[in-house]
Amino acid sequence: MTRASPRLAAALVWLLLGGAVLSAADDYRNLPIVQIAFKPAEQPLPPNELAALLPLKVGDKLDPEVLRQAIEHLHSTGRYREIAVEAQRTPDGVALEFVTTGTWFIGRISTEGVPEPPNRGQLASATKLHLGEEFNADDLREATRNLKAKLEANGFFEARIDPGVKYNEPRQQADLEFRIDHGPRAKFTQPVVEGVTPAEALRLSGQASWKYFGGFLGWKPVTEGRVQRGVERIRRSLAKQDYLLSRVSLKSLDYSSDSRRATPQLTIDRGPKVEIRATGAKLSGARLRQLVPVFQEQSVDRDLLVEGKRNLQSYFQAQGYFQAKVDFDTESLPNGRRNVTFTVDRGARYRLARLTVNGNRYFGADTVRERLSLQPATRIRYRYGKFNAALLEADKDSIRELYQSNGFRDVRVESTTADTFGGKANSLAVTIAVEEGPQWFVAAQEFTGAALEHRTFLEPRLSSGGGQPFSEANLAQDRDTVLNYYYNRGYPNAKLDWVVTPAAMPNQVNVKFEVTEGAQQFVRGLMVGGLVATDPELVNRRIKLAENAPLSQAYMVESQRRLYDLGIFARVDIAVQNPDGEEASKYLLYEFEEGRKYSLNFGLGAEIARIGGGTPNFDAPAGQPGFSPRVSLGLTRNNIFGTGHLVSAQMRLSNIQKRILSTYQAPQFKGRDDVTLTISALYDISRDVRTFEGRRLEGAVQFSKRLSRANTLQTRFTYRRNTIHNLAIAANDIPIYSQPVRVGVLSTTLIQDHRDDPIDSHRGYYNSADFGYASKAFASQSDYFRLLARNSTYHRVARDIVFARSTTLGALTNLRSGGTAAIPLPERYFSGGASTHRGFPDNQAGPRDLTTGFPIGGSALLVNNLELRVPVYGENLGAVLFHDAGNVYSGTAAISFRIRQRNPADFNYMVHAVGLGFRYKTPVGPVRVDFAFPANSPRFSFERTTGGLPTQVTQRIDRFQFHFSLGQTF
Amino acid sequence: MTMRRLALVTLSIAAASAGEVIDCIAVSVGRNVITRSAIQEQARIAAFLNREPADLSATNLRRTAERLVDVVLIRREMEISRYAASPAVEVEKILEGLRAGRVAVKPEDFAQALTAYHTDEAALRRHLALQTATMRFVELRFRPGSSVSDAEIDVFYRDNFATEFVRQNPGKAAPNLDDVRDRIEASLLEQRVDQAMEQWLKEARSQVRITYFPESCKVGS
Repeated sequence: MTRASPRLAAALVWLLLGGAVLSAADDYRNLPIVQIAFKPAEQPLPPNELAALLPLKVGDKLDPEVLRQAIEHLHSTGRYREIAVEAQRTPDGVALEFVTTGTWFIGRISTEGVPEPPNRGQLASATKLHLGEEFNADDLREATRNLKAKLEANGFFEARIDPGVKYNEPRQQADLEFRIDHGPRAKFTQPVVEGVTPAEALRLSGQASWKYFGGFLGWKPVTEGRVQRGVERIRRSLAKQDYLLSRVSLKSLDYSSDSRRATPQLTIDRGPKVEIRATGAKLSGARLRQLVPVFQEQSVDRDLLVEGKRNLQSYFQAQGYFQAKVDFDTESLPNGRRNVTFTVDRGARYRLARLTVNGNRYFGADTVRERLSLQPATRIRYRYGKFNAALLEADKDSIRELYQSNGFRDVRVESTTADTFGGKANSLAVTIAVEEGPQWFVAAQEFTGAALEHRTFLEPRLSSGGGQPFSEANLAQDRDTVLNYYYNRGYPNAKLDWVVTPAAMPNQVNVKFEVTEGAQQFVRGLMVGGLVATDPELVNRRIKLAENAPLSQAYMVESQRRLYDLGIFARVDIAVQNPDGEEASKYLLYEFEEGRKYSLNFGLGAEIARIGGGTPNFDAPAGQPGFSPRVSLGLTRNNIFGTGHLVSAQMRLSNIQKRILSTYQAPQFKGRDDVTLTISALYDISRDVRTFEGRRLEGAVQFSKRLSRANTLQTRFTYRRNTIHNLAIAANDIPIYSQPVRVGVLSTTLIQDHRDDPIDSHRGYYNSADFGYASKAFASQSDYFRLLARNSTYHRVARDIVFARSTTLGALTNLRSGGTAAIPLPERYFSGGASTHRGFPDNQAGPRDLTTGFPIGGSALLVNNLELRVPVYGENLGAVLFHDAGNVYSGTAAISFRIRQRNPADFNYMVHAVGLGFRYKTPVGPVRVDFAFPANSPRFSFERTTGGLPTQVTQRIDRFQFHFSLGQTF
Repeated sequence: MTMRRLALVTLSIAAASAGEVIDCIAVSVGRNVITRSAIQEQARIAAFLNREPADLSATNLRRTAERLVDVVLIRREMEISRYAASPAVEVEKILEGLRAGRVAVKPEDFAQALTAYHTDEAALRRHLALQTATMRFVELRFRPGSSVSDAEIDVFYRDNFATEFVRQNPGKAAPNLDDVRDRIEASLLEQRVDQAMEQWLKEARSQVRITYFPESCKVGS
């Protein structure tokens, strides 16, 4: 027989290629397993983890169901993409071999070579691939398509992308590199607009602002942002013409490779004109747009109109028209227009004369009141009070929440409103009645499922412990406490359930917490990528998680913060490789995008005060109102030598100061979060003291150490050379003052900042003490000891009223012969001005030259400021009543509280100034203007030459001073 | 070379190969897998319950794999949303019914019938547990949100029921709407539940990576 039947041949081929279909594990059922092997022998998981994962072992009888579980367990680790189990019969049983293919995980995504925009971060996120997640070859194609779309949206229509993958075999990581040849960036050209007349299309395309100076300098290059903003501008332009329902969409950006121009294809559906107006009350168009959401939503549906009606009602109620009624009516006209008319019936204007809360026993009135938004009328700030139905409901909810979170589960809060309070028409009295009900407590608490060490730590920290008030809020807080504890110790799958059951005693419950800890996860290793210029050691020192440490969320966030704090990274991504895989230890991935090497800043400012314009005026040694514009410019080189350090040069120019400062700064010096090293060089020409033009050349080295969140210690050594120019005083009269001098000072500053808000403090305190020692040991030509200390405290005396006080004390002791007079002028204390003593113009306090009348500084300083900060009108305008007292004295022994000036040569007395200031809150701090009345401002005499003859003239520091500045005084 | 020799060579190559694949991952659904043996087992049990011969063709196994993907998605959702599992007694009840001859097999022949399908009671129990859990999930998740209005019942009666009844029963008048309202409502409600379920499964499939391994793990002939 020479020919086999075709059926046999087919069966044989099937046996080779597809025979597995019928070869089931059943054929090997109950055979003893004599060997378990893996192919390849090098597996992603260590042998001990593998052994622990497999539910079968050598010696077991093969059970197909258990084998299936083994495959499931291995796959659930996330480390395997494909698993097949091969069996081979042996004389003693069956040998099993797990043939595996590993999973790849996404590592670094680099998209180099594209000018911004888009930036690298935008390109990386356009790939829609996420660090640490599973990677498949299909993902690369999809990511390339997405990148291409992103580049085209930014005008790079000729971009070519060459995707590549670098595989890191042992760690199963795939680093993706998209090499991009971006080609030229297209420029806009005249858009093609459908849906409107050609003339309208031309007008609207002009609104898009896709041309430079209306086309005078041609078309702008295409960027995604410009396209979106242009479309939005066109929509807004239509909205201004009452086309509130207009739709403007970009159909495509058609690119012509010949002209390298992209033509936006726009489709505009103007929709009907919709006119929205309000009758019955005066309302500006801008206010109407703000309150009626159809303008923002580009839709005129009933829900939005109802919302607009509610907003208008609340608006009028907030104005005192508490019974305002608003209704609306829509009308469709035959010409397609739609009119929406809001009819406002404001009703009478009321004052919220009284707000009473009663029935509250557990919480005091202050505790309840500070949660309320309702505000009774006041003479100036709230003429009609703050009241409307929504605010009242919100306040009632707030009181309910306060009680419920403290165990008053059955609390009831009701309100009544009377509209003729005190027999006066239109005078409202709102009474909020609290019915507390019984307070519920936790009778007993049980905490199960946690290991002893965790239970011991957690139990005392729970708010729902035995004897504690019982509330849902406390339970939620406990859940956060417990889960955060576990997440921060490497238990990402920890769960907490609780059961609440009534206890034997009334108004008491038993709480049972049940923890499911899940498996603890550890760090298998760290993988750091994306560092180009930065020293890897700089990063490694700041990553707190070591190998085999528990995989803690808190540590990950903390290390990310430390890395961002270096100020050299634009992006720090942290991810766990294989996040969903159920494996005991995981790789932690850190991917960096380094920030720009250089940064440039530019600023404009001005000072308006009694500053005299910077030029000594011999007729007005006490200063005169002036205006000093200021320009500042700075250049910073970040991450120098990859160390995270930076070098910067800052320049400031104004009428009264010219300064250039270069700084070398090493944040987190030597890997220590709390230490910063700063080396600086300064050249400063300053005329802020009217007596002279001081020139300072200075070098300084400073270590700053944060002792705690509030306390900072700074130690610095400064060496400077001071020279005096344009001295308003005869140099011969003050030979020591006017000589150039070199000063070396070693100083230490301790700062203690416990303020709630450093820009606008309401409570807390601030202390600082600066000790300086200048000595010839530091090559100083002047030897002195200097102390400047400040203590400020802030007290809330009522809900919105703050009393603030500050005392500043300075003392300067000359350690060489010659007394304090031997200390050079620029080293002496000068004071007065917006942030010190407002009774004086800038730096005008203290001793003066008796010949010219100009200030010569002193050796001691005492200034005390008192402020009462009160709100005046609405939320933003406030006022300050202040009292500044103090002066600069000729010496410590000369400090005096005396209020009378004995003679025009006596400056050692205390000048008192009272005044009024206004503050207007802005996002960068309060803008302030202060008017001060220094009742006992100093008189001083000086010589003036009139007709060739010297005559003695007496002047006085003006008894009206004003200051304009930003930020509170202290 | 004659065909017989070719056959001998082929046999010897097959015999000399490292070993035979006795199980493998056929489909992965996120971190969950469906093995070839699970698909085959499912197909055999379905055949047993339907009193049909086991169909292990590639087409049927592929269809079975799709059903198992749905089951995995439902099981994942039940775990995430912490749905209670079906009580074991429910499975026992169904099993009792099967043993009592609900599938035309005498109780004493039950184990033998399972063996004929290359399966056993443990596998059947697993299958029933999954089935009851799935049904329970559907009831809890989709039925509460499904409803049928009177108007819809009216429209269905007028456009479908009455027309079809007259077509199938010439000369007879269709029953009054009030007489069949409950039946129509129940039927429409079932449709709504099925639609909601289908929609949910479609979304669930789009949110998880489902990979088939037809080359490395063939599941059918």
